[in-house]
Amino acid sequence: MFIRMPYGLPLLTKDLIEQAAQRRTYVLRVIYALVLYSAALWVYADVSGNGAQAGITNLGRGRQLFEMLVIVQSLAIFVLLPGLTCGAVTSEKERDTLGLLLLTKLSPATIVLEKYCSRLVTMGTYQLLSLPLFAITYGMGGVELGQIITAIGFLACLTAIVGAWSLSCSVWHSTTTGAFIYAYMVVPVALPFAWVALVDDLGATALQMIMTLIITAIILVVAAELLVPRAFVPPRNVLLELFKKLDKFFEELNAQTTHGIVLVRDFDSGPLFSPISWRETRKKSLGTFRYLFRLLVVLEAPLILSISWTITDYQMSSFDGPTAFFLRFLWPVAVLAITVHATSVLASERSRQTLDVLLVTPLSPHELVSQKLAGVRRLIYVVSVPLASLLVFQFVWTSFVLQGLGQVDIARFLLRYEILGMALGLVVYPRIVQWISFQMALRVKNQTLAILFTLLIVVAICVLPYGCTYLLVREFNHPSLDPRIDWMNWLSPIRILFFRRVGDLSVTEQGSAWLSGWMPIVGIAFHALVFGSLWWVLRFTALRNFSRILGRAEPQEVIR
Amino acid sequence: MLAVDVQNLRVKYGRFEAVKGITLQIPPGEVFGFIGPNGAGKSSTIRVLATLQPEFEGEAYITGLNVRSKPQMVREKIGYVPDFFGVYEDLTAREYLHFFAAAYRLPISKRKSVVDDVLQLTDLTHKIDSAVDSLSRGMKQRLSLARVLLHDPAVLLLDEPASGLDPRARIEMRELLKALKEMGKTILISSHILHELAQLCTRIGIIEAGKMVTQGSVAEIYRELGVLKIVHVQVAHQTPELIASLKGLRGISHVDDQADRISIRFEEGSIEVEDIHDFIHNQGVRIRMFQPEVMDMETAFMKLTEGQTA
Repeated sequence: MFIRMPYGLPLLTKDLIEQAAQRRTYVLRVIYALVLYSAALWVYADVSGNGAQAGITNLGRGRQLFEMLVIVQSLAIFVLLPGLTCGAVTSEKERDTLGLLLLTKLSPATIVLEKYCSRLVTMGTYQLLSLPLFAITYGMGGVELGQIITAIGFLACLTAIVGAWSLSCSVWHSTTTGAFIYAYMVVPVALPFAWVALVDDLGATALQMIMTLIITAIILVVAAELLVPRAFVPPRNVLLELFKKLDKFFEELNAQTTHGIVLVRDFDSGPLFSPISWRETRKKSLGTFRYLFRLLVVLEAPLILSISWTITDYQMSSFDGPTAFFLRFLWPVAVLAITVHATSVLASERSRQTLDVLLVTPLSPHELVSQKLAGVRRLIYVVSVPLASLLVFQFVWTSFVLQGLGQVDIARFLLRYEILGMALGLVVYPRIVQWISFQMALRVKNQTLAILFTLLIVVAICVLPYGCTYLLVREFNHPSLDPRIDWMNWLSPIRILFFRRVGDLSVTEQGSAWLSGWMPIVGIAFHALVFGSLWWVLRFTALRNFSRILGRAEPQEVIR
Repeated sequence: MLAVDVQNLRVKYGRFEAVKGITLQIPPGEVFGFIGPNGAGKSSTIRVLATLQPEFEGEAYITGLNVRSKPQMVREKIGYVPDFFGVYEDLTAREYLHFFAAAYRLPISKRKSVVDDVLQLTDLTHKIDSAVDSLSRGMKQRLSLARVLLHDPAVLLLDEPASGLDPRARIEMRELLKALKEMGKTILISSHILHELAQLCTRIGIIEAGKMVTQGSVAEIYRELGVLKIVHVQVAHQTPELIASLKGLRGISHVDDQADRISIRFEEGSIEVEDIHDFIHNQGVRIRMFQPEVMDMETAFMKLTEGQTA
């Protein structure tokens, strides 16, 4: 690459060369191209005519393809750009090279700008993939040149602001993991604005673009200002700090109310038998009984509030309410927490350079893996409590509602369904997430990527059945709730977890015979079988491949 | 039975061959120094012996146990210190050592006394309740050594344990290794601090570009290479006659009359240092300084290697 500037753009050049040397850059690009072109082909097949007159009938039908392109590109920005950008500065911090950069004549503003541009260029290569499709769209007609330009402007502005936010997260945080989590917080904030702009006219007005660029500039200026003050900030465990504050608060409360009576005393006997488990559970934020109990209090308090709110404010004929919302919020949070924790168990050993030291101990692969995941298991138990509380309440509440409506059979059915569904949701799914995350952590050294890949797999597992159903409904014009098609939705864990909370019951009331029939139970049985097997396979392969992937010699019989 | 036995070891990373047929035997109780430029294949060889490199050709044994077929048993026999600090900084020194004592399955009843012993040996007793994070670089490295001594391994594999340490820490490390040598441990140590290795090691192997260039005792290597030893001398009243007489002494190869000293070079085995001292003394000259250069390993190293990597 030859960039002719008076003093060159060393950081931009270095970052681009680094990214170009990584295989994952090309893998991700190919995957994205496949998704984009498959979607385009599907839409094209949907809108285009057949036979000899196809060329004529297609004229003026480019609008649908155009809409799809803009939506997919926007989603790509939200999904990919924070992940690509959040490590821009934190990786320098983690490698202790940011200090060296600051000692050069590069100003903080230059560093921020070059880092920013390096990620925009990468994102630009993704967006350039759609240029031929835009040309086809324009060729088909139905879209004016001005619309294409405003759409490109919209995508450029979205890229600019999402990238700036993600970079500022990278400047602020000392670890890539922290930056990753906060970078993705832009999605719920910016997505509604983007959606409004998309719905409006698949583009942004000049004023919206100017405003976006001004906000982007402000974010970048702030990032440049913060680069030096935040360059050597030690990593913070926000959760641990929160617990310490809570600890202090509860101790004062205890001293005032009971004069310091302690019912369960924490006792640390040290690493007696399972040293890694001890460190994972005792030395991390969720260590002691005291912390766990207080965490439960903190989680259960808003839960109880939402339950009270549901009971007092909602009519007995309504299935939904704050608890349903809370449940939909809690599941993604639980998945994210498990993913981050499970991917960090090896990443932290790698960053501390303690992995080799651990691998030369006589502990077996099974012991190493099992003990490393002790903290994740504990986290699963902790998040299971509020989830179980919510599920139990949802069950009781819906039963009340149904009995009030005279639907006793359905209420009885729910009891069977809910117990099985809860077992599946609380026991199997979190373990699947745990093992997928661990498998990713084994294979991908970069924790951010491991998190990203895990979440993509989880989302794919949840969404693909719905996507297939949608395709079938469109293709064969089946009614969407025809059991012949609807069974496919039961392949998704979302269907199991949010059954009757996503409107299933109100619809299936039309056919209570079907509801009280076999389909949901078969769905749960199918999930228990498939996901239970998947759990076993993921665990087995992780244990089997642990030593091989990490370069630890094992006797032949263990490898087999 | 040999403590370490490596036969025609080859290690490849893809198409890149890092180790190209190294063979070495280390008897029990020996301190073997592994010298070579960066990328020569030292760490790869040590990682094979530490069971951290499953893909290799040739044979490697630790106390008679095949590294390939019995890695679990080999791990019980070795103590491995990597070329970086493998320490958990969120633990105290006590917790850190108890952590590894449990990982090495030491009986609970023995752990406290073993931890106390290794802390005493590494002179870290006063830091037992300090956070590992607060320890100096030298202390962290001594703590790493304390860790590998917990299970009383027969063979210590030390990959550049003195790199990055200040002179005091290096001397402390050297003294500690001498103590371990006296305890009868077999030590395989790689280092760039060449003269320190020469002081410590009973045998030395010089490796370059994945091949063992030479191995043997320090004296053997000097003899083989014809490397000159040096003695630096300062006398009260230096005269040209003294220089001339020294040049005429049998066994002396070269005499440099420098501003502040006389540097006398001679071949290993051709004359003893004590004889040179006696000769100068017998000339009636008062000796102010007599300093045989400890080892001229740098010369040997430079002579044997060309700075190539594998």
